[in-house]
Amino acid sequence: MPDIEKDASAALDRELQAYLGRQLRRLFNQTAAEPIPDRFADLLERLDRETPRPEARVPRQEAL
Amino acid sequence: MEEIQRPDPGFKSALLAEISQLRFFALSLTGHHDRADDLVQETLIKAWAAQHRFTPGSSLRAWLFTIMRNTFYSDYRKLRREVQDRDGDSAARLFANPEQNGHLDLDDLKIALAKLPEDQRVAVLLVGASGLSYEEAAQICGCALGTIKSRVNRARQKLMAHLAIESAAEFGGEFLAIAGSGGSASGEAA
Repeated sequence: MPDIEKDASAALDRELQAYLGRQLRRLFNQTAAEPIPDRFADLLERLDRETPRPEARVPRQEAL
Repeated sequence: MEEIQRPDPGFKSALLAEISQLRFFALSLTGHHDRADDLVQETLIKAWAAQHRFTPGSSLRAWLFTIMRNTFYSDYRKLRREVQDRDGDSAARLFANPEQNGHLDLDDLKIALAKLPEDQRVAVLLVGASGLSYEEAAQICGCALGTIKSRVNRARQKLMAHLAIESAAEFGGEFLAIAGSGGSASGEAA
């Protein structure tokens, strides 16, 4: 391959790689910008309320 | 006694802060919004139950992603294959969100991602989109650092080849002009 074509190919590669990097980040940002469905916060609230520590060997106290 | 049994309140906030990242990784694995959110939910439940096994100070994100990936491979892969067989064209809808139009200029990237082998797609999205280190990606995928680097490289080459063709028209032939002249970037054109 003549040098001029190698240079062109390397330049094309750099341009494309930078373009690809930007596109991948935009794909991520598109998802990250979506509002988080309430179901996840609700789920964590419920788990926090109901679940004892898994390693706790102490019998669960049902009554306060 | 009750106080001792309560989970660490900070863990809940830490999980909430990772949900955007978890949703994107779930999309990387499943390719569908509905199933991605189911996978996020299952991951949160498993993470909650296993929180005593998390080492404080280590990467919560990598730990959660590892749980998610294991969950996906044990529970979701078979289901996904069945649905793909039924839908036929699901590859073209990778990342497509029916509730929003999205960025049309990302469509080419989505199509190219859908054509990649799964291990390469996951690797390039972890490193190139989610912004994880190669080391974290290797830990999550349960493979050697060199394997992840090789998957990312191969994925990049294929994506670049696809984008070079698809974006030539959109860029008014910018890329082709560089390729044709060879002069503008190198300064060596005679």
